[in-house]
Amino acid sequence: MCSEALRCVAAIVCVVAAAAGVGAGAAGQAARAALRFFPDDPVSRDDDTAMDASGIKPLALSESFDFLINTFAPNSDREPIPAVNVNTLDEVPDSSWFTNRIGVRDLSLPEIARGPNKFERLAAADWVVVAGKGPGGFHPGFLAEHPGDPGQVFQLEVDPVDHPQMATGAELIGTLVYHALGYHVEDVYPIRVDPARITISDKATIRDASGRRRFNQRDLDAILRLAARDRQGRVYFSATRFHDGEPIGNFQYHGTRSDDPNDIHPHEHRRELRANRVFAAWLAHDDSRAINTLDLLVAANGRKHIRHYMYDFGAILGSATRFAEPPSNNHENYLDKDASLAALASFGFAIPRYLRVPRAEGPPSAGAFDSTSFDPVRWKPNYPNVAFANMRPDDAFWGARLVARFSDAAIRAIVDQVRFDDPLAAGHITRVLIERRDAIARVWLNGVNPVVGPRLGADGTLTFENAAVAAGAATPGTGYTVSWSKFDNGSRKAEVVGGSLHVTQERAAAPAGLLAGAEFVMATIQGEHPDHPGWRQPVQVYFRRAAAGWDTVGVIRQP
Amino acid sequence: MRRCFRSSADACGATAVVVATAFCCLPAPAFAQIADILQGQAAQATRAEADRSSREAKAARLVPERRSKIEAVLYRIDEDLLLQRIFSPPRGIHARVGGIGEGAGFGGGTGYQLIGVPVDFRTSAAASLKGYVIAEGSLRFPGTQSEDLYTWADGPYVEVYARWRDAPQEDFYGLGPGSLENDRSNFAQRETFVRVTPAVRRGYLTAGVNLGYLNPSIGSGTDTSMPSTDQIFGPEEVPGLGAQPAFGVIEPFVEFATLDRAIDDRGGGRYRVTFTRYADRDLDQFSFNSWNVDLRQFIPFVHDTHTLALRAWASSSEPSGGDSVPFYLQPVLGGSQSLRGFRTFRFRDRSALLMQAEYRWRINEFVTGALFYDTGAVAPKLGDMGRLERDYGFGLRAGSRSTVALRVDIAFGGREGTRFLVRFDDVF
Repeated sequence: MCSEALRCVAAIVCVVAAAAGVGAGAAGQAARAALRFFPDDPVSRDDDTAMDASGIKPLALSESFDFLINTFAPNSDREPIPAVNVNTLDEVPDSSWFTNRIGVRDLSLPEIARGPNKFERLAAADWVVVAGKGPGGFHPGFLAEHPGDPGQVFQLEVDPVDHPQMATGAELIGTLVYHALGYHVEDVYPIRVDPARITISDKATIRDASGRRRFNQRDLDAILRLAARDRQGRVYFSATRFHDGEPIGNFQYHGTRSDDPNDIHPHEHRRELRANRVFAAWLAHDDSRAINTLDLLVAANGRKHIRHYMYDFGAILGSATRFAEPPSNNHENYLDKDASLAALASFGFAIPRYLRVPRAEGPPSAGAFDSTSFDPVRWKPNYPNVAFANMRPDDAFWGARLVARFSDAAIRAIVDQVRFDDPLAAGHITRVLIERRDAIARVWLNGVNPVVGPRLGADGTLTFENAAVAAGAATPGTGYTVSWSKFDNGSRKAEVVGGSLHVTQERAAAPAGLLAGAEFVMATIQGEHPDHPGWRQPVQVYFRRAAAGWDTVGVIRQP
Repeated sequence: MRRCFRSSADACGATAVVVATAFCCLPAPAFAQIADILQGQAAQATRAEADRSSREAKAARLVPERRSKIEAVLYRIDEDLLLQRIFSPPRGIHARVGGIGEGAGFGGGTGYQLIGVPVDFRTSAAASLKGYVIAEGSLRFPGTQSEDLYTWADGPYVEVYARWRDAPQEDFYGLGPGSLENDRSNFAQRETFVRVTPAVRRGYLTAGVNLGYLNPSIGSGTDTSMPSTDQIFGPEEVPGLGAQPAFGVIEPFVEFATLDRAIDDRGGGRYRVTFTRYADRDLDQFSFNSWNVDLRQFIPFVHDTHTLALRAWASSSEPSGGDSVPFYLQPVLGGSQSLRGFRTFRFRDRSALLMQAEYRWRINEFVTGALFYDTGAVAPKLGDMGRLERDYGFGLRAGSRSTVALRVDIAFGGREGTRFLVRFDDVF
């Protein structure tokens, strides 16, 4: 009886599973339909602006709730499934979340240094305060306009007195890096303003714990009192220029918006959000949480859709905005159970590894930013992030490839945009970013099989590249093992043809007879490297016959 | 599927259970979202059509985004700065917790304050479960710059402060270092205090003078679990127990503080020196001078995650001519702020010396651990100090980066038993 009941339950579950296509798993897409590859695969754009989303109402997050829910219930959305919004090449298509930039083309240094900014430089000497920042804002600043850009509101934020250009520099560097990566970010300009040329609008208000009131000179003085100044007495500001669109709150790192028809991919399974863990680790962006994101409702083509922004980089690198980054940030969650127990039980004498290594943290303008204590795998945000927790090696590989695409010159060009008064600060930040980039490449480019860029020539020659070797993150391995199959796109079945072939270069010939009459073929490539067991993870690459040869149509790096 | 059951029913059943379990674990929203996608894509000819179909399917059943009840409450707390609104708003009525005085027990009340205008105005009243009552108010010009930003303006300021306090059961064990635990008694102290403080602040340095008027009165204690002080001590051995004059108070002070919480200073010092003249206005019996030195030093190490906190405090009172120092104005030791291994106000005399050391270490962002050692003694004169009392213990402190909201200390070694302390403030 029990067995029968079990079978019934099992049968129902299996039917549901089959109907939903969840069982197949591979890339989360294999079971979507009968065809493994649609004719338009691989797509380069996910058109998530297709549906009108004008019915969306603004809804901001609760910072406390975000902390509590992610700290005490972080496993609610955790699934080790492949990212659901990647295309069949295991890449992220362009969308309202992400626009491929440095990952798909060589960006010029001026292009990287310009980032999202409308203007090359913001020439604005006079500012009028129009409002205080929102209640509870930690980073001192205000909202202001300047006569050269009427009607445009900027958010101006300062540096702490002892760390000139630390927070404002972090804001700009984060903006430029995230823009080059492919995220939407607001314009950010580093400016210096004579305090005497800041006035307050008659209509300026500020909201504090007792409600809204006039923004007065004392409020401005209190902010400027905390602000670092240059030798001419000018205050360093980061000026954030908000893009057009209606702010509707923040996006979360899990779930979807129930009122947005375009939002169909659970955020915790979006590749660009999972792999943001790699970027956040690189930049020491421990404050990478939902509260530091921004959704704008924008109009285009007669309808509205959400554009998703990464926002607020003042607390990255060595900055915690008002002071230098505390040493435990980026290494422990705020309520890190294991670390707390260890500290409690040892009366603080069990010093964590990250505190034991010598940390060359640089001059004051660099804050507390180092590479010696950096471990990409152990890096932690201030509190758990479901998307980060869901990051798999293939997500991390994707992210690491983007990070590795930033050349030394590109990093230097980004840091130079801050125009640090202290050249040692620029040098320190540049060096640490390079060292952290290299650490990420060493770890995550070797975490899986780093074969990329597979091509199948008309003559049956398979060529590919090794991303880890190309990035200098690994020495060439001892070779590759390649096997071939015919692939039936309808039944999704592969029929092995010939035996495995060992090659020492990134090229191999398809077996005779494989290609004749085949519409799809599949090559399975395993790498071999004594130091990197992840290379042995087979990568399946799929090719579809085209008019002039073969198109690469699929890559499965981690089923 | 059926073939699966026939060929290996047990295995299939087990697999199904695993799958079912996985489904159960898959959060409902995530499952629904993925199912939406798959449903929309099942019969489309292209990927683009399939994705569009999924979005059309979702568009047909959109639901407005809403906060859960818990999130809605927390959102209001965040957005309206509700905790600050309740306990310390820039303008308006607020709740008050504690601050009635050492030994007063748990208490609370309400207040009104106005900050952020040219003057700061604060007034509040509170009562404790032990029957302590306090009402106080202050006016400061110019006011603090902005409490949100932890800034105080440099330059001169004037503060007027007034307090009325009724403390019906203050502990008293007798005077001197040899007072006995068994002589524990209690007395009632009611006082009115008014002062005006002109001062100037410049960078780390603040200097000024308190000009005050103090009018105390002493009565029988209301704690019936022990005798009233006047039942076991006489006015001849406890000066001030029989009659209490009003005092004129002149107190120059200077403070040097390099510790700035606004910029997350973990190291630095606070040093305060005061000299006080108490002039008996009525009886010509209790005029005296006292000085007070309070030195605190915080030494961070291991990248500021650990701190050695040190405090040295000394106070001494010298009567004028043949006058006496009234017992209720003599320095005291014992309790949550000083010798934690002893009861509140356990030791009292004209002079006191206290040294405290705490080894504090970060447990996580919100909790700090502490191992502490206190030592000190009272005596008629500092030079007469004999054996120092001592205690040690362990504590946990919860709060934010700059404030201790809850402190739990357990103190041993005080020769009068283990003391367990729960407080809503830091020790120093």
